[in-house]
Amino acid sequence: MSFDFLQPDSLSGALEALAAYGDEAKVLAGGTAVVLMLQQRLIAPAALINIERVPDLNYINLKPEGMHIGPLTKLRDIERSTAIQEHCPLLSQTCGEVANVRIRNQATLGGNLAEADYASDPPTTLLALEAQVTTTSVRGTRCLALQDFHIGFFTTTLEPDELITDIFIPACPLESRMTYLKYKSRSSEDRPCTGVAALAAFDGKTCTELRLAVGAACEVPQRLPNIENMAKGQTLNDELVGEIAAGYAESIETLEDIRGSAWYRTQMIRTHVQRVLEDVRNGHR
Amino acid sequence: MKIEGTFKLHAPINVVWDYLLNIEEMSQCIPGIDTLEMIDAQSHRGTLQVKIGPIKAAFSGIVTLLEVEPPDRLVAVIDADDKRNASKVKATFTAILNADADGTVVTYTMDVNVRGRLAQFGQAVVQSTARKMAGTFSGCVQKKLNSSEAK
Amino acid sequence: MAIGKSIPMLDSVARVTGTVPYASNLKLPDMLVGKVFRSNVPHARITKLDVSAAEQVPGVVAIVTATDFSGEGPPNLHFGSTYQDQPIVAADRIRFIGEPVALIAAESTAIAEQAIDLIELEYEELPAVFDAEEATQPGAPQLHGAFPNNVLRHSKLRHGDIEAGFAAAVKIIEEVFNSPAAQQVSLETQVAVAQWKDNKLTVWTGSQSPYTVRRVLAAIFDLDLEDVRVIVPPLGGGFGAKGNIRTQPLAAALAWKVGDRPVKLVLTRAEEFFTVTKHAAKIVMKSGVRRDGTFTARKITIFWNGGAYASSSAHLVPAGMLRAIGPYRIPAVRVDSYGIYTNLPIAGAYRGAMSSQGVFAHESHMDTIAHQLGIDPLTIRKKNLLHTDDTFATGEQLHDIHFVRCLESAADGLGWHEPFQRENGTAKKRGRGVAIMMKNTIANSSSECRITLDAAGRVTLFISTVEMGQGGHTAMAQIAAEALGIPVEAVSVQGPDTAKTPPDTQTASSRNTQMMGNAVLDGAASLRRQLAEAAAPIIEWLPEELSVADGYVFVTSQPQERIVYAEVLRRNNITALTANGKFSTNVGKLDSETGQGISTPDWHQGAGACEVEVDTQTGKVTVLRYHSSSFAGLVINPMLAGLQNDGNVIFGLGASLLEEIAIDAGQITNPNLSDYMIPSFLDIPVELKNVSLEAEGSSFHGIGEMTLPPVAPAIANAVYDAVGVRIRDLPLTAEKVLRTIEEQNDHAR
Repeated sequence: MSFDFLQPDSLSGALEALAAYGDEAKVLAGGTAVVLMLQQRLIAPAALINIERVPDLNYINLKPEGMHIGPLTKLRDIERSTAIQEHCPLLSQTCGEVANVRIRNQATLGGNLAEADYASDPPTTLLALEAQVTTTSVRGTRCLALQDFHIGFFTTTLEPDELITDIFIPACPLESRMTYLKYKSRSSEDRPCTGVAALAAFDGKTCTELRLAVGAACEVPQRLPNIENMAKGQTLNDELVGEIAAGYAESIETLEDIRGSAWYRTQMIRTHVQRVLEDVRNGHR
Repeated sequence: MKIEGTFKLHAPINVVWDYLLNIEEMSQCIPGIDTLEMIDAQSHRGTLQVKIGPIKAAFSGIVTLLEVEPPDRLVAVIDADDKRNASKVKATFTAILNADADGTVVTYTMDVNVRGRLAQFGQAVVQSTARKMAGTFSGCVQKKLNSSEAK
Repeated sequence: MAIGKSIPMLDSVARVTGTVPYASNLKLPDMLVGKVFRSNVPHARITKLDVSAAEQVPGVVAIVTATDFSGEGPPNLHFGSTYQDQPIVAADRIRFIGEPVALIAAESTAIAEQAIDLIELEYEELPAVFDAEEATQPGAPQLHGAFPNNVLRHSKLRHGDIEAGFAAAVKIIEEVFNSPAAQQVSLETQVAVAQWKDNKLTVWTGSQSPYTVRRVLAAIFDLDLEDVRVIVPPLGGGFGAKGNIRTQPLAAALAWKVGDRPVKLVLTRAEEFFTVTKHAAKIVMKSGVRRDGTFTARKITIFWNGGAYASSSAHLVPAGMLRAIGPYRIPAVRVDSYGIYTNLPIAGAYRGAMSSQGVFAHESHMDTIAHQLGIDPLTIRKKNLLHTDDTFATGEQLHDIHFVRCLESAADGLGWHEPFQRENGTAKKRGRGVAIMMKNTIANSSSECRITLDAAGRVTLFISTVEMGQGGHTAMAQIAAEALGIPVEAVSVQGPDTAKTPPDTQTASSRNTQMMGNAVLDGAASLRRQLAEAAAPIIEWLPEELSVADGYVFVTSQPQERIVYAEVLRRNNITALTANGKFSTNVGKLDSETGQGISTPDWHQGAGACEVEVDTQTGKVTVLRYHSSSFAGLVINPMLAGLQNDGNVIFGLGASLLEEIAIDAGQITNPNLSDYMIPSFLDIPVELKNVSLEAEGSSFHGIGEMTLPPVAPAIANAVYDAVGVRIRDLPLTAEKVLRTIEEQNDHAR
């Protein structure tokens, strides 16, 4: 295996390199996924483009309309950011659940999204947060909602010459409670068998908005707006919680892998949607 | 691993059967197929490219018809190598056709053995890729049958 | 006094600063990289093997295939420690996915990998068999002509009258238990560096059995033993995987073809899985009991899945026969232990070899019996446990037995007799379980040592004990220090190196502490005699009037008349004194038809008690508290002994809850540590405690494995206590537990 190794020190340099190599190049940031695949000889790119030296891609900027996070931001930095812990604790909590601290010190949010591994935590939460992904190439810039970006197993709508240049998380509704439940069926450092992210806004005991995303049990993280709407204007009593959990369990086509069968994951969706709703109902933030 | 699925075609059972047995015609609907040439009445040699997640696989191998019971049962064996990924796939493909009110229901089972590097990649992705290919295939076949019916 | 002190390992600083000279780190001048081209098919006849394109790659120095072995004379293609049934590279037949077919020596790993991709292999595929029991059925593909029905070994035990035993039973209970294939997962993978010079071979390798490696390499190349040198640096873990000849013949064959440059062969993690595994086993256990819970009979049938070549299975199958019976008084016992060839990678020793599978069976079975009779699981065991002077199923009389103490110690540690709340109104339920194991060790073995004392009063131990992270060298240094009455800091340890250290059977089966420990005592006694002899003319008393202890030679009746060791040597103008020590056991062989005889010089004894929590909505089992106990006889280093006990429990969590090699038609699909799941530190029970039991007058006993086999059944028994489901197939995954709970609920409706 031999490849060209590039280390552009500007965004334009990186984009030109991508334009030149097209899908024969792989972008390298933290390396926690790419290096494993290279080592297992599952991919053999003509070029590796290391973008860690490109400036201004590692940031956490809090604005009134929401939070902008640079693609090279390490998961560990998101986990520990006081700004995110205060304004969007769901995201810091989720990033803190990924693998172990050694991985989180290396892995980047942009890399995580570009890899689009189903057995992953951040995409589920970012879906619930209605994140938007900005991608840039020599041809220009575009902005996509996460569900239009992450579309299949290891598949995004990223063009071969594009780089993720920003991740935007709109400000969460006031009075919202949020939590992420990562269910690991095996060891404590395993990837998720099922991940559920919930964000609920309340007016007293009444739920005014519910966003609930399920991931890792299916090909891409999913929200079910029809079922989410069942919570609008209601109190999250046990019966409604049960209906929502059943709705998600019955609607999502689950996958099978070493962490559980499709049947098992359906049960886990039901159980963990229920637990997550009980958490937000009982005041978990 | 076992991959099972069903698809429905709006065409009579014998039309579907003839179409499936017409290897040259039918193979045009297989996503990623590059070349296909007949070896004899029972076997064909071909090459196929497919993306399994981030991995590019390029298979070359032989498809052999094992059991042919018109108009409703077909068993084929696929034996293919992906040299680039030092991998091999052996699959037994069984298709059962059932006529119903307005067409034909095709139920397929694929018993797939993957060997080599690809075997380690994760069956969820391999299964999903195979299912997607089946979906693309059946959609294409439907179109072809519709257009030939229209003739 | 050195014995009984919790000193850190001698090389602890090197361990934490990363300077231990593991064989994986070895760099020799002009060294080449060795790589293996492996088969992709489980059973086939090779029709074409073409390495010509690979040979053309610049930087490829040599390629070895079966044709290199086809001439007259050495090297011999087939090797093995017991049966020579394994080819270094496949010749006409391939028998498992991952079998070496060609070997490449190249200037770099990248070049070797590039060359591997150019090797062309064509074959005619043959029907394959993967299930052990199926492989014994008529019509199954035969792997080796000399072994009909693929049975590589059938060990039998017949004790007492089994028919009468079952006839006398009030209740007969039969259960089937399954343990899957698993992997030892040492941190350091298998490594061998080989170099030839003047028709002599030197191998640096991470092996638990340097003398087996030497013997087998000598046989392959028709060399005298003295012309093969095996050097073993500290291992990054062994756990049985390195307890037999493994990759050394491959490295040696490559180096032989290359000429004189050293060749280093290091396995990748994936290759570890294709090289050696833990035996999958199906165990049928049938017991006859009286109403009071005592036994009348036990019949056991074991199918061990040995993989494609015999390797260690040939001698482990009889050991497994004994280790499935259980430490209980049973008047009639019949065991049939079958080692079976299948088209899978080779199975070998795995910490507490052949015990875990049997103990999971008999200890789960014991609880089933307890529940059916309405007797408490602890009570029924105490009623049946063997004592000193009892007769075991081999007909031998037992000595130095402490099973009841072991079990009580673990159970008391957990608080078995205290009130216990199983439910708290949530989906989580708690339960408790106990288990106990009994294991023989290697019946006939030998350990030798050489001890030198220099004129500065420093001692060097030359021993072939392998340091694999268990503290084997540290323990020996402590024994030597105590025997000579000098500080441990004055003792250093060297070896193994077959050119420099005397022979030792192997570092396995928890034998080192006892066997080498006693050899060191023997050597130290000899050294003390030599010191007395050397001091006598100086101190002007007769040697028999002198004592040697605490760093001095002194007159027994007038202890103030004394002289330090160093001075004894200086005044005699001796630069060093050297003494040899030896300890061996030879208890004989078991009868091949009945399994009767003496099976071990002493018994390994260990127990565990645990408390688990089961989430009944997910099936996830969490081990909250675990207390283990092992009989150590005399503890040399309490800290290291405790770490062995605790380490075993953590190791056991994997086999119990997480670990299983996934196999699809002979292809291992999870040969990496993301998919094959070993425990995380975060999975360690909140409360993990252990006890190393001693006894008056007892000497050192092995402790490296004893608290491992009870882990799986203790957890399975605790799960039953919590949610009333009995699972007989390991691992107890969350899904398996949930499915079983749901099935039980369905039946109840």
